[in-house]
Amino acid sequence: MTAAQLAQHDSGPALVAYLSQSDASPTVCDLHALSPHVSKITPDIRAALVDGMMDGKINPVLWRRCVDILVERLPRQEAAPLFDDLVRAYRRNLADSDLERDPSHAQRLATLHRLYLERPAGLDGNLKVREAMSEEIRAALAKGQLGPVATHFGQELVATIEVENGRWQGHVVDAAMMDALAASGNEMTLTRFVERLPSAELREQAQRRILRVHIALSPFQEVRDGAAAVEETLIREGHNRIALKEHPLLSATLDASKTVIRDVLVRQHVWTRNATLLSYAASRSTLSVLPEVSFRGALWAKLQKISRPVSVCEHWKNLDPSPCIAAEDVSLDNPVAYRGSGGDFHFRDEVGVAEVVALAKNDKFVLPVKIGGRPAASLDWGLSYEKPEDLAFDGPSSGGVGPRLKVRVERPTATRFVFSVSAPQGTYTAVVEASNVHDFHVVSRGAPGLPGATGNKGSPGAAGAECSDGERGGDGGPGSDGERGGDGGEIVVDGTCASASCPDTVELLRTIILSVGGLGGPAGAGGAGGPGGPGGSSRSPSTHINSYGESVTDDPGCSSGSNGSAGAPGASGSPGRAGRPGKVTFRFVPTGGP
Amino acid sequence: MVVLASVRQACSLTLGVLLASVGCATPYAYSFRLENQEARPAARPEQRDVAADADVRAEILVDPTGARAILLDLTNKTDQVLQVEWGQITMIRSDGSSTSPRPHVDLGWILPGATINARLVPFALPPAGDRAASYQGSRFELVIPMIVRREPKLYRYSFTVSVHSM
Repeated sequence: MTAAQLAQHDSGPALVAYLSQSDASPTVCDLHALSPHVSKITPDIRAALVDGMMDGKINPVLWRRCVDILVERLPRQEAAPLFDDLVRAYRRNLADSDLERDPSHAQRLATLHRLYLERPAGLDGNLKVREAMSEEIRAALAKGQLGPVATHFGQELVATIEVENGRWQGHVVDAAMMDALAASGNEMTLTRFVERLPSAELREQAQRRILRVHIALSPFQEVRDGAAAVEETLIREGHNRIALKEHPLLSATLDASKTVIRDVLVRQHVWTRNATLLSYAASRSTLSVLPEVSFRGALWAKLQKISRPVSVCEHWKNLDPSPCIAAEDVSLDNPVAYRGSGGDFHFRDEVGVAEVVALAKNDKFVLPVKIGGRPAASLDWGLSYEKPEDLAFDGPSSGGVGPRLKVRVERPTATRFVFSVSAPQGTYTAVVEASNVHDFHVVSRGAPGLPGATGNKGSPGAAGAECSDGERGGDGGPGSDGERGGDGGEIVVDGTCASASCPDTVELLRTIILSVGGLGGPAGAGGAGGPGGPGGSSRSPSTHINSYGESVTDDPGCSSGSNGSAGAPGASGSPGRAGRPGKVTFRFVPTGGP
Repeated sequence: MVVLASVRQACSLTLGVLLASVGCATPYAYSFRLENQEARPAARPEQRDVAADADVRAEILVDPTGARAILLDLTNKTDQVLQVEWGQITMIRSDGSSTSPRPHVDLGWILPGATINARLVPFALPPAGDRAASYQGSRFELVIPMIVRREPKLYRYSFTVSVHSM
């Protein structure tokens, strides 16, 4: 299911079906995305989303990204019910004994757990739902009712709820505590503070301590030297963006181990003049949607006056003080690629015919990367076109001549053909791989002839008189002949070809660009013979008693007559003749090349 | 070689309407053998496998049925602080799926020459039955991101699993 199809269905099951695919993009969860997405979050969609992950249909990592986007983009009052659903699912699954022995189950619960602990400050569901969960878990922990895995989750949840009240391990959280944590490099606790402390001021204080840890560990000398300024920049902007005017690009490389590599398959819908882009990978056997592409940690650039290569800025939550390139300074020069709101690149999976043809000009699906408008690197994916449906055009009505076609054949690459066919109803285009071209056809076909009419039925035989037979039915009339099929339409084929290969090209095209006569109409069947007339009725004998008391037969009577025989069926007509092929003219211009 | 804690609850009592029956599945213990080239396998079951390079020494005991945890002692052999991305540790199974165990208490960086004892939870596998037996011969990889001498590094510890009926 493509993102466009999901947007059409716009339902919980469709969202689960989309997200359960390899390479699915979480941007379908972004209600404000430029790309196709769900239009609203209904209770059904919320329930399907939570169940989809807990049932193992949606990968937990992708699910988390989807929910993070939802939570970030939804108005708070609409995000709150989602947390109620999450809390209910959490309670249900914490008590499930599978948690103690199934690593996948534990990972799914851990995903819910982390989402809840790391939710944006101030965002929560219904207080009663939360309190019920909290009390239930505290009671279960106190009574030792939970297994080791569930106990771990329960204890961490309870401890983190304490942070929401400004306390940690029984002590009030203050600057001194945070300094001590920073001095020991304890990012884990400081991160809890950033996420859960009740006041924005305290959260910022915790954030600054994490930054100090990161700055102390930074491999960039200039970061450590300018620690205070870098800290302020990160607090203000979320990252340490480099101004490319002051630090121009010197060179760039892509780290192959962190770069998404796929091959693209174009599935054309020739009659609706569009196509679906799908992807396949060496590591899996099934087609899927196109992946998103992130250059964070994959694209590395050397910039003037920066001591080490830098990559694309991380999400602000990572509090990474490394100098970095802003996501908006990176562009991908591909007509179907666009940058999403998170800075990663996505692809439109439904494209028009003009883009289908434009893509065919390259052997590969080329993704040239620019940094600050300057060419930096290129990512080349495989590109192939699935064999499209034949471009076959029929005559307009029974026995009609096939339409006149004007066909333009181009070879954008040595391994690909582009057929543009102008017919009375419009122009249609198909891109065909050379390896498939023998199985593809352009056809002008005469319409089939009308079928012959069925002969008249024979008349019924007359009924027999009393005691006599019915008459024979009349014979059926002959069927008429089928009509002639329409002739194939005239086709003119234009194109260019390298001088040496022109004869071969034309010979090949003669086998696949065809004008075909329509089939003759089928013969009309002979009419059925009429039924024989029914036999006449019988007559009973009649007697009387004479004066001697004897019985005297006046009339011996008779038996009933036989039914007449049916008439013979009429003769069938002859099938119509097939139409004749039309003229096909090839006008190829040698280009002079080999 | 790491042999794990006993399995206590392999049998369960189920009550029918009139009959009581005891359903037992075969209990299993798991052995996680560290396969890294530089690894030194444990001499005894309760000991830890050891892997070390010039910067980091790791002692690992995987206990998916008893503690349901990975016990990890990390020693910083460098002269600078060593930071472990404790929240980014993953245990990847041969089918590509993964779990993300975290320290059961919050931890920080490791000072030069110091050792930190981490108990990574949860990490649980089925203690009994066919699902447990199906892990025989499977491979796991514990991936630990660290910042060593200010450089991000991924430490990968590969294990092969043996499953023994008890």
